[in-house]
Amino acid sequence: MIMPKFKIVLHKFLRNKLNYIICLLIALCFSFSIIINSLSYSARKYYEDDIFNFVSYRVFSIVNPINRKDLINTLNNMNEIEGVFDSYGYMSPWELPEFNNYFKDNKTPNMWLLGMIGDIKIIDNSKINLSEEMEMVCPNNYLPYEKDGKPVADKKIDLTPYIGKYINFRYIDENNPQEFKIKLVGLYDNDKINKNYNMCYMNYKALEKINKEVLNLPKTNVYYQLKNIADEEKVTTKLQEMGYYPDPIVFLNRMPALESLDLLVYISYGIFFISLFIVSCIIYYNILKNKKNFLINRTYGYSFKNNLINSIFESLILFFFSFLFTIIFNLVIYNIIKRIIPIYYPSFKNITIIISPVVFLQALLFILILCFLLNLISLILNHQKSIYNNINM
Amino acid sequence: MYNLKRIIRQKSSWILITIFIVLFIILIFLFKYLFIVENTIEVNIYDKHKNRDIIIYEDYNKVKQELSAKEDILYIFKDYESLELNNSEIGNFNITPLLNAEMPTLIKGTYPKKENEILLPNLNFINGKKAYLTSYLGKNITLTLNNEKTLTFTITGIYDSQNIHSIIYNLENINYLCEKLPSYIYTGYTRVIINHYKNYEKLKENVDLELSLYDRSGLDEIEIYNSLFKLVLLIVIIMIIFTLSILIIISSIMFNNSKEQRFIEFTEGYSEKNISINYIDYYIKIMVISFIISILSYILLTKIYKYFIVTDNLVLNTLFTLNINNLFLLPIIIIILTISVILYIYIYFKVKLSIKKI
Repeated sequence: MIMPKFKIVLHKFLRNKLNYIICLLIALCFSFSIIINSLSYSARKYYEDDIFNFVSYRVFSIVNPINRKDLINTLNNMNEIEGVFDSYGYMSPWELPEFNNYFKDNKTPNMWLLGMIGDIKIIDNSKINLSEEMEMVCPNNYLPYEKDGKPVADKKIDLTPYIGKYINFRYIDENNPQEFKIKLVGLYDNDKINKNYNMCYMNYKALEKINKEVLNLPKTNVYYQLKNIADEEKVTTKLQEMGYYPDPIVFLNRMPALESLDLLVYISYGIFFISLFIVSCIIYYNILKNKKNFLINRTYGYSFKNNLINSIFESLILFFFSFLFTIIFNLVIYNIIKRIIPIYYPSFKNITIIISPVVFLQALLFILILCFLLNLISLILNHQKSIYNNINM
Repeated sequence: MYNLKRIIRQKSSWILITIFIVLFIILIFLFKYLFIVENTIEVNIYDKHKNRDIIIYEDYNKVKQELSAKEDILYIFKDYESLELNNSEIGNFNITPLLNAEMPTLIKGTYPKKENEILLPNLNFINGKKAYLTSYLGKNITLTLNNEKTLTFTITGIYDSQNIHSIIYNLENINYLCEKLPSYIYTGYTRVIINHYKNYEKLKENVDLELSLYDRSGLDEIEIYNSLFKLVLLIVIIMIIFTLSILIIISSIMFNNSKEQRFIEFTEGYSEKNISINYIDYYIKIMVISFIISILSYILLTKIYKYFIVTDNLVLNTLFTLNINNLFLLPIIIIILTISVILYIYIYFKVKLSIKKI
């Protein structure tokens, strides 16, 4: 009994062009709002995790603290601090005699050696914990020369063949040149960070050892590295209350970026709800169009139960086609965005677009609810009305 | 022509108007958001003093002769080594020389004009204890310059020490401080303050002098914010494309559903031209009503936000601030006109084709 009725409803549904357009419109609304939400959220995550949380921005210094021991103890006892060290290693760049005259220009390329503690993400997205031995992680895109503060892009040295090998570093001092061998254990993706074209990172303890051999400077400043940049304000406030004023090694004002990206995420959620509203309007408009057919059915003797079953079938079919088109549109739009955007914005390929399954399921649930709810509400409202008045309006 | 009363009486017109209002409000917010983000980056990143402070590796007199006529140059002065002011009562401070227009907003007092006038932050920590410096406003204080010279200054104003923590001195009087110290305080080079970071490249091209940014630490930040703005722009363009495609699709659906009505009008004797004009007129009125209501709704939303919602997000607060000077409405008007033209061309040809079918 049910199947023939379903077939009739399906047949009627498929014959009406407007139904296809409505399904396409529902799918377009939800696909775009899912993709926009994913893009906004992914952009926020990319800047927070990859850019602002890069090790350079998590290191702070306190210049000439009054009570050095007390300060180091306090810092070591804070959970937010990953490590405390006496020297950052930011003395001067080191020469790489191995690459002498690499570009046939009689120059020796330079590299900065910076200290850090904890894990660093390398190019295959895994993390390396640098030990206190002589090992380092260098940039994937190594540009040794700078002009007016900007790297010279056409002079690149590929360090990939040197992974697992030792590279000589020479301290630039005519009177006392010294060389050290440091093992390259991995390359970090500096394209993601948009900078750091000539900086290698090694464990600060290993770096302090070689710095002492080269230039034994007295310990004046205290450096610390945060676990997460989000703790910056908390730690800074605590230290200021003790009378210390920490300065970031590399200053970056995060607030305007985070506020702008937060708002972008809110706007994308807003678009999601506005899509809901638009879809409701469209479905309601469709119901208005079908009102006469519904009332004519009543004159043929259709009971409330018959109309209810027809309404449920129509809602199910509308939901099924909307769902199918949503998935197709999502795949198409996602692939178009992935291919076209990097043409105009190359850094975009560093962003991993995460289509949140929660948002996707939310969208499907809302489509289902809307399809059923609006049809049922219309059915209930129209069932009691006078047929004559409504047909002739 | 479509009677306004007839439009208002039809339920389908109101569905269309409501959808258009919602979509116009999205467009208003999207364009305003773009303007705000760009302005936030300009003010907080590009407009920073250090990104406009250039060092020229030449003698002061030569630079002054060559550059003083240029309109992008705000101030030229001799480069100097570091300056520091100390006092056991208020603590140690670096000096941040700034032009008056760049100084932070004051909590109390006035901006320093004379050579012996300074601004202090409202708060400092001395021997681990918080010390409020507001009480020093208007008073004279003796400070030691670079541990060499003792000078008396008047504190003319107090600023909020959230982001900066130094004594602010009027840059135009910097020579007064440098001349109190031995001549080796000057490096022999010249510093120039320009009006915008983007004019730095222009200056490099037009001037035959060796120059660079005095403090290059801001370059990383500029690069990151450049890429951020491009990304935000891209995502907003996708949102705008979505909004416009929905607008066009819905309009064409509604128009398609008037097929029967158009045929009836044709049999009644209306020409193709009159039928097209009828519907173009209908859509013009719908768009105008929707646009006016969307502007009024935006104004209402800003009032509701101002009175009932308070957040710390400065960008969000600016989004809901009504500012007559913003040009964000201009691109919206251009877009609406463009969509209207596309729609009207569509209506014209659709009517022509459908009439031919009869």
